[in-house]
Amino acid sequence: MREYFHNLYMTLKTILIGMRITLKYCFARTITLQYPDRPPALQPRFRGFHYFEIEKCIACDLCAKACPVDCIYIEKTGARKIDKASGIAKGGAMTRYAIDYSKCMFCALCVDPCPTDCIHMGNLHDHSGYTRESMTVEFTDLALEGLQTPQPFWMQSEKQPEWVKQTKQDWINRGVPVREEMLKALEEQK
Amino acid sequence: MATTVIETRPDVLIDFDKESQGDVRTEEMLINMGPQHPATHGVLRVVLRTDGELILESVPHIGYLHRCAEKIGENLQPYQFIPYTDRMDYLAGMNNNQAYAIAIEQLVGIEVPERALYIRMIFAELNRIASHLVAFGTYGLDMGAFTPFLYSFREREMILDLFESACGARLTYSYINVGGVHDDLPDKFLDVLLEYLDYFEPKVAEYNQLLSYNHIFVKRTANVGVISAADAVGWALTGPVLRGSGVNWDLRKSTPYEIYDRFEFDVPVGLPGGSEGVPQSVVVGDCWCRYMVRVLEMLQSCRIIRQAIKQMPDGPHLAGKLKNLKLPDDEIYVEIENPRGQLGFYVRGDGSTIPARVKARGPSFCNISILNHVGSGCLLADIPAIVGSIDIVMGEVDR
Repeated sequence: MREYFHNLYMTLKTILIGMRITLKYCFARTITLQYPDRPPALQPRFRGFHYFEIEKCIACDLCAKACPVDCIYIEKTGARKIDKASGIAKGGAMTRYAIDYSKCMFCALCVDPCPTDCIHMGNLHDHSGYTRESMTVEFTDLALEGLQTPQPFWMQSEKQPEWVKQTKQDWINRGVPVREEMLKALEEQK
Repeated sequence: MATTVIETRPDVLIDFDKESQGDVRTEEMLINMGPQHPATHGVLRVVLRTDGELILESVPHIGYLHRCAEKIGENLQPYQFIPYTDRMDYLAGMNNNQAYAIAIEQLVGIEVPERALYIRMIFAELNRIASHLVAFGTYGLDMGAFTPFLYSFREREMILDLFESACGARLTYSYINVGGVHDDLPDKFLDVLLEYLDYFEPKVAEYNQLLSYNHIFVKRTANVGVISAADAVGWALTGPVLRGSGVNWDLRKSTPYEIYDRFEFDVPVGLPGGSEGVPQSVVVGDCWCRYMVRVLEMLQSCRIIRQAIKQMPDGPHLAGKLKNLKLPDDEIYVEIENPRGQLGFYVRGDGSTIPARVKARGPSFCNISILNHVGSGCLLADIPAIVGSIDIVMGEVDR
């Protein structure tokens, strides 16, 4: 009998101690980030979906060889070389540069060996599609639109918070200065 | 006399007459707990043979998350296998990276720069805190306390932010690599880290008030699932499970690897009830002891990190080129202290750049083996308490 009431008392007491801590946080600032309305707080080194500067790529296959899951596909018509004066690669055409994101594990091992520093980890953190094929991003097709990083479906709808529009614009702006070179990389240059 | 003997535990004798003043034995029933059960921490399936509330046998069935990690390691160069080690014990990616990196470094004979050693150790200890925070939070969740879970994840989130600022990932870091660390620390990292430690240390006292000394929690965990020191050593248990049984064995202290011999820290062990800060009903080796060892270890990790920040040297963070390392025709076995116990990597080279054999000794895998031993003879509701206190990560059990 005594133990029963002792248990009751101890339970109530310790729960109240816990409740006091919880109560303290009722008046503290919330730490929840309202994600779709507010931008996610990504660090500068965040390893998201790649952005790829096709005009600098010499298609040396080093990134594909470093990839542990073999998810980078590169095709070209001939040898490409960096033109020292402009810093742009010339030679054969890039016919395909694709990354299969259903395999990619964002380890950033493809970024390290790149001799021309043309592939980087970007700041896009999610991507979606209806088919398995849509998970393979063709960066050569994106170059036609002047993009260096894939745009997910959800970003393409008009009803978006301000930060999404801003991010989208940033991506487009980044490609603008090299727009012509990007298109040239898709054709053979002598 | 209506006693029953459990075949797997001849030493446990259950006297039904004494317990219930009458024979209450009923039909035996097999119950599947998992593989999709919130209290099994992943895809663990436990087949329980029960007699009413009493567990006669609890057999863990594993392998639902098998991904051939070892075989993958035998087909990739060491630096390429690092991202896969993240996915073994996915709550302690840094420690896994570190274990494999040390194994390869010792095999090839690479000298790691001082700064890299310090950075590695800071991250390994931070990851230990993050991992114990998950263990703490989810254990409360298993015991029916939801609030501590939110609090522990709030603190863990900040550690993940620190990780993200250094390596760009929040779960699968691949930060510690063969020969050092992937990137140098970002600007002002150590200041932010110190700020975090100042913020975190008082929180542990809060956790104790919230959960550790909560009467319901103590009732559910004290004197439940007792593992004796002899059993713990006999079943090759390691980590907080072993230390919870009162055995003072921590690889960081007993056989210091890398630079752990330069720091002062204590190894918390399970203490009997009535000692300082231990409720009366606690027995050495029970669930509460294992839980408390983790809480105390978080504070010790903070202590180590503080000393490391003070001693942090300048210099390079990577020992040259890591690619196309020729692995000598030799073998090596390296063990480090992971948040869950001793994580070992066995690597054998054959003169090429790809290891001929990679074998991992997962602490969770060895720790879960005792489940049947401690589980039989206890009550059904104690099984989540025992599984939670062993703190398994299925990614590592199955690999």
